Amino acid sequence: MSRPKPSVAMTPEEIAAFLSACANPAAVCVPDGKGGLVARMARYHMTGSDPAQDLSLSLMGAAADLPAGEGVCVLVDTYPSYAGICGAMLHGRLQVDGNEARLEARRVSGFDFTKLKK
Amino acid sequence: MNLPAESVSFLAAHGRAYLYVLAADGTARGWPMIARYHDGVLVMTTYRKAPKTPHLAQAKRATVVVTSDEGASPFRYAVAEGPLSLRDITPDMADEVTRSIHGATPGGTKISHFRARLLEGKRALIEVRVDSAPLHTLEAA
Repeated sequence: MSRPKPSVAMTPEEIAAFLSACANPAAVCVPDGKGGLVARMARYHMTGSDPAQDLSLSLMGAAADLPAGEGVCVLVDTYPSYAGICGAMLHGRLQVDGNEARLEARRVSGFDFTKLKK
Repeated sequence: MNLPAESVSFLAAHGRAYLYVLAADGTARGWPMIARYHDGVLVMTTYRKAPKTPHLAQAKRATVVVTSDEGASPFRYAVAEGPLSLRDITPDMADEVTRSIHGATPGGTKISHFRARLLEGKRALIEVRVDSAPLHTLEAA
Protein backbone atom coordinates (compact mmCIF):
# COMPACT_ATOMS: atom_id res chain seq x y z
CA MET A 1 0.00 0.00 0.00
CA SER A 2 1.43 3.37 -0.99
CA ARG A 3 1.78 6.15 1.52
CA PRO A 4 -0.49 9.18 1.02
CA LYS A 5 1.16 11.97 -0.93
CA PRO A 6 2.28 14.70 1.47
CA SER A 7 0.44 17.98 1.08
CA VAL A 8 2.29 21.19 0.33
CA ALA A 9 -0.75 23.32 1.21
CA MET A 10 -0.25 26.05 3.78
CA THR A 11 -2.65 26.75 6.62
CA PRO A 12 -4.19 30.25 6.81
CA GLU A 13 -1.76 31.07 9.61
CA GLU A 14 1.19 29.92 7.53
CA ILE A 15 0.01 32.02 4.58
CA ALA A 16 -0.27 35.09 6.80
CA ALA A 17 3.21 34.51 8.19
CA PHE A 18 4.64 33.97 4.72
CA LEU A 19 3.10 37.13 3.31
CA SER A 20 4.29 39.16 6.27
CA ALA A 21 7.85 37.91 5.93
CA CYS A 22 8.33 37.73 2.14
CA ALA A 23 10.20 40.69 0.68
CA ASN A 24 9.47 39.85 -2.94
CA PRO A 25 6.99 41.97 -4.88
CA ALA A 26 3.57 40.62 -5.83
CA ALA A 27 2.50 39.73 -9.35
CA VAL A 28 -0.92 41.27 -9.87
CA CYS A 29 -3.25 40.58 -12.79
CA VAL A 30 -6.62 42.22 -13.44
CA PRO A 31 -9.07 41.53 -16.30
CA ASP A 32 -9.39 44.69 -18.37
CA GLY A 33 -13.07 44.14 -19.21
CA LYS A 34 -12.29 43.89 -22.92
CA GLY A 35 -11.09 40.30 -23.00
CA GLY A 36 -7.55 41.12 -22.01
CA LEU A 37 -5.44 41.23 -18.87
CA VAL A 38 -3.37 43.92 -17.18
CA ALA A 39 -0.44 42.42 -15.28
CA ARG A 40 2.14 44.29 -13.22
CA MET A 41 4.55 43.70 -10.36
CA ALA A 42 3.78 45.71 -7.24
CA ARG A 43 5.22 46.05 -3.77
CA TYR A 44 2.84 45.09 -1.01
CA HIS A 45 2.54 45.11 2.72
CA MET A 46 0.25 43.48 5.23
CA THR A 47 -1.84 45.82 7.38
CA GLY A 48 -2.98 42.99 9.65
CA SER A 49 -2.90 39.23 9.95
CA ASP A 50 -5.77 38.31 7.60
CA PRO A 51 -4.52 37.74 4.03
CA ALA A 52 -8.10 37.96 2.73
CA GLN A 53 -8.52 41.54 3.95
CA ASP A 54 -5.14 42.96 4.87
CA LEU A 55 -3.02 42.95 1.73
CA SER A 56 -2.25 46.45 0.53
CA LEU A 57 -0.51 47.14 -2.78
CA SER A 58 1.57 50.13 -3.80
CA LEU A 59 0.54 51.28 -7.28
CA MET A 60 3.65 53.29 -8.11
CA GLY A 61 5.25 53.43 -11.54
CA ALA A 62 3.87 50.96 -14.08
CA ALA A 63 1.64 49.43 -11.39
CA ALA A 64 -0.46 52.58 -11.62
CA ASP A 65 -1.95 50.99 -14.75
CA LEU A 66 -3.73 48.36 -12.63
CA PRO A 67 -7.45 49.07 -12.65
CA ALA A 68 -9.88 48.42 -9.85
CA GLY A 69 -12.07 45.44 -10.48
CA GLU A 70 -13.18 41.88 -9.92
CA GLY A 71 -11.45 38.69 -10.92
CA VAL A 72 -8.01 39.73 -9.72
CA CYS A 73 -5.23 37.19 -9.19
CA VAL A 74 -2.29 38.06 -6.93
CA LEU A 75 0.75 35.80 -6.62
CA VAL A 76 3.59 36.12 -4.13
CA ASP A 77 6.30 33.50 -4.11
CA THR A 78 9.89 32.73 -3.34
CA TYR A 79 12.07 30.31 -5.26
CA PRO A 80 15.43 29.77 -3.56
CA SER A 81 15.45 26.27 -5.08
CA TYR A 82 12.82 23.84 -6.36
CA ALA A 83 12.63 22.19 -2.95
CA GLY A 84 12.30 25.59 -1.27
CA ILE A 85 9.41 27.01 -3.29
CA CYS A 86 6.79 28.79 -1.20
CA GLY A 87 3.98 30.97 -2.40
CA ALA A 88 0.53 32.38 -1.92
CA MET A 89 -2.30 32.82 -4.44
CA LEU A 90 -5.11 35.24 -3.76
CA HIS A 91 -8.23 35.81 -5.88
CA GLY A 92 -10.74 38.57 -5.37
CA ARG A 93 -11.49 42.23 -5.94
CA LEU A 94 -9.06 45.14 -6.14
CA GLN A 95 -10.09 48.43 -4.60
CA VAL A 96 -7.96 51.34 -5.77
CA ASP A 97 -7.48 54.55 -3.83
CA GLY A 98 -4.91 56.82 -5.45
CA ASN A 99 -1.56 55.04 -5.53
CA GLU A 100 -2.65 52.38 -3.06
CA ALA A 101 -4.89 49.39 -3.56
CA ARG A 102 -6.45 46.89 -1.20
CA LEU A 103 -7.29 43.35 -2.13
CA GLU A 104 -10.55 41.84 -0.94
CA ALA A 105 -9.71 38.19 -1.43
CA ARG A 106 -12.45 35.58 -1.67
CA ARG A 107 -10.04 32.72 -2.11
CA VAL A 108 -6.59 32.39 -0.55
CA SER A 109 -4.26 29.42 -0.85
CA GLY A 110 -0.60 28.75 -0.27
CA PHE A 111 2.01 26.15 -1.12
CA ASP A 112 5.23 25.23 0.67
CA PHE A 113 7.45 22.66 -1.01
CA THR A 114 9.67 22.43 2.06
CA LYS A 115 6.86 20.36 3.60
CA LEU A 116 7.84 17.54 1.26
CA LYS A 117 11.08 17.11 3.18
CA LYS A 118 9.48 17.04 6.61
CA MET B 1 6.74 40.00 -34.54
CA ASN B 2 9.89 42.03 -33.97
CA LEU B 3 10.37 42.76 -30.29
CA PRO B 4 12.72 45.47 -29.06
CA ALA B 5 16.24 44.10 -28.62
CA GLU B 6 16.18 45.08 -24.96
CA SER B 7 13.04 42.98 -24.36
CA VAL B 8 14.51 40.00 -26.21
CA SER B 9 17.72 40.20 -24.18
CA PHE B 10 15.77 40.40 -20.94
CA LEU B 11 13.49 37.46 -21.80
CA ALA B 12 16.46 35.36 -22.87
CA ALA B 13 18.34 36.06 -19.66
CA HIS B 14 15.58 35.46 -17.10
CA GLY B 15 13.38 32.50 -16.23
CA ARG B 16 11.26 33.40 -13.23
CA ALA B 17 7.77 33.98 -14.53
CA TYR B 18 4.09 34.26 -13.73
CA LEU B 19 1.73 32.78 -16.31
CA TYR B 20 -1.73 34.34 -16.46
CA VAL B 21 -4.80 33.55 -18.55
CA LEU B 22 -8.36 34.82 -18.61
CA ALA B 23 -10.50 31.94 -17.32
CA ALA B 24 -13.87 30.99 -18.75
CA ASP B 25 -15.59 32.74 -15.83
CA GLY B 26 -13.89 36.03 -16.72
CA THR B 27 -11.41 36.01 -13.84
CA ALA B 28 -7.62 36.10 -14.04
CA ARG B 29 -5.86 32.86 -13.13
CA GLY B 30 -2.13 32.67 -12.64
CA TRP B 31 0.72 30.44 -11.58
CA PRO B 32 4.42 30.90 -10.85
CA MET B 33 6.45 29.18 -13.56
CA ILE B 34 9.91 28.73 -14.93
CA ALA B 35 9.90 29.92 -18.54
CA ARG B 36 12.56 29.87 -21.22
CA TYR B 37 12.54 32.20 -24.21
CA HIS B 38 13.47 30.40 -27.40
CA ASP B 39 12.98 31.65 -30.99
CA GLY B 40 10.26 34.16 -30.08
CA VAL B 41 8.40 31.74 -27.82
CA LEU B 42 8.19 31.43 -24.06
CA VAL B 43 8.35 27.72 -23.29
CA MET B 44 7.07 26.13 -20.08
CA THR B 45 6.01 22.67 -18.95
CA THR B 46 3.44 21.38 -16.49
CA TYR B 47 1.84 18.12 -15.45
CA ARG B 48 -1.01 17.19 -17.76
CA LYS B 49 -3.25 16.65 -14.73
CA ALA B 50 -2.27 19.88 -12.98
CA PRO B 51 -5.18 22.10 -11.87
CA LYS B 52 -3.99 24.81 -14.24
CA THR B 53 -4.32 22.62 -17.34
CA PRO B 54 -8.08 23.04 -17.97
CA HIS B 55 -7.69 26.82 -17.75
CA LEU B 56 -4.78 26.77 -20.18
CA ALA B 57 -6.66 24.48 -22.56
CA GLN B 58 -9.55 26.92 -22.96
CA ALA B 59 -7.43 30.07 -23.21
CA LYS B 60 -6.44 31.48 -26.58
CA ARG B 61 -3.88 33.96 -25.24
CA ALA B 62 -1.66 34.34 -22.21
CA THR B 63 0.20 37.04 -20.35
CA VAL B 64 3.56 36.04 -18.91
CA VAL B 65 5.33 38.32 -16.46
CA VAL B 66 9.05 37.50 -16.62
CA THR B 67 11.05 39.03 -13.79
CA SER B 68 14.54 39.74 -12.57
CA ASP B 69 16.03 37.29 -10.12
CA GLU B 70 14.84 37.55 -6.54
CA GLY B 71 16.38 40.47 -4.72
CA ALA B 72 17.77 42.11 -7.86
CA SER B 73 18.09 45.86 -7.78
CA PRO B 74 16.83 47.46 -9.87
CA PHE B 75 14.07 44.88 -10.19
CA ARG B 76 12.87 44.73 -13.78
CA TYR B 77 10.15 42.74 -15.48
CA ALA B 78 8.68 42.17 -18.91
CA VAL B 79 4.96 41.72 -19.51
CA ALA B 80 4.90 39.33 -22.46
CA GLU B 81 1.66 38.63 -24.28
CA GLY B 82 0.70 36.37 -27.13
CA PRO B 83 -1.16 33.32 -28.41
CA LEU B 84 -1.03 30.29 -26.14
CA SER B 85 -0.73 26.67 -27.16
CA LEU B 86 -0.88 23.59 -24.96
CA ARG B 87 -0.01 20.10 -26.13
CA ASP B 88 1.03 16.83 -24.60
CA ILE B 89 4.73 16.05 -24.61
CA THR B 90 5.24 12.75 -26.36
CA PRO B 91 8.44 10.74 -25.88
CA ASP B 92 9.73 11.75 -29.33
CA MET B 93 9.56 15.41 -28.24
CA ALA B 94 11.61 14.91 -25.07
CA ASP B 95 14.99 15.93 -26.52
CA GLU B 96 13.61 18.97 -28.35
CA VAL B 97 11.74 20.20 -25.26
CA THR B 98 14.75 19.58 -23.03
CA ARG B 99 16.90 21.70 -25.36
CA SER B 100 14.26 24.45 -25.38
CA ILE B 101 14.09 24.56 -21.60
CA HIS B 102 17.74 23.97 -20.73
CA GLY B 103 19.37 25.36 -23.86
CA ALA B 104 21.68 22.39 -24.06
CA THR B 105 21.98 18.97 -25.57
CA PRO B 106 20.48 16.42 -23.18
CA GLY B 107 23.06 15.14 -20.75
CA GLY B 108 24.13 15.69 -17.17
CA THR B 109 22.27 14.70 -14.04
CA LYS B 110 19.83 17.61 -13.84
CA ILE B 111 18.93 17.53 -17.53
CA SER B 112 18.67 13.73 -17.53
CA HIS B 113 16.19 13.92 -14.66
CA PHE B 114 14.14 16.55 -16.50
CA ARG B 115 14.21 14.51 -19.71
CA ALA B 116 13.22 11.35 -17.83
CA ARG B 117 10.15 13.12 -16.47
CA LEU B 118 9.19 14.11 -20.02
CA LEU B 119 9.60 10.52 -21.19
CA GLU B 120 7.04 9.41 -18.58
CA GLY B 121 4.40 11.02 -20.80
CA LYS B 122 2.79 12.91 -17.93
CA ARG B 123 3.75 16.43 -18.92
CA ALA B 124 2.39 19.06 -21.27
CA LEU B 125 4.16 21.78 -23.21
CA ILE B 126 3.01 25.37 -22.83
CA GLU B 127 4.12 27.80 -25.51
CA VAL B 128 3.37 31.50 -25.70
CA ARG B 129 4.41 33.17 -28.96
CA VAL B 130 5.35 36.64 -27.80
CA ASP B 131 3.62 39.52 -29.62
CA SER B 132 4.74 42.22 -27.22
CA ALA B 133 6.89 42.42 -24.12
CA PRO B 134 7.27 45.91 -22.71
CA LEU B 135 9.88 46.21 -19.96
CA HIS B 136 9.19 47.89 -16.64
CA THR B 137 11.22 48.71 -13.57
CA LEU B 138 9.68 48.23 -10.14
CA GLU B 139 9.73 51.35 -8.02
CA ALA B 140 12.34 51.23 -5.25
CA ALA B 141 10.94 50.34 -1.82
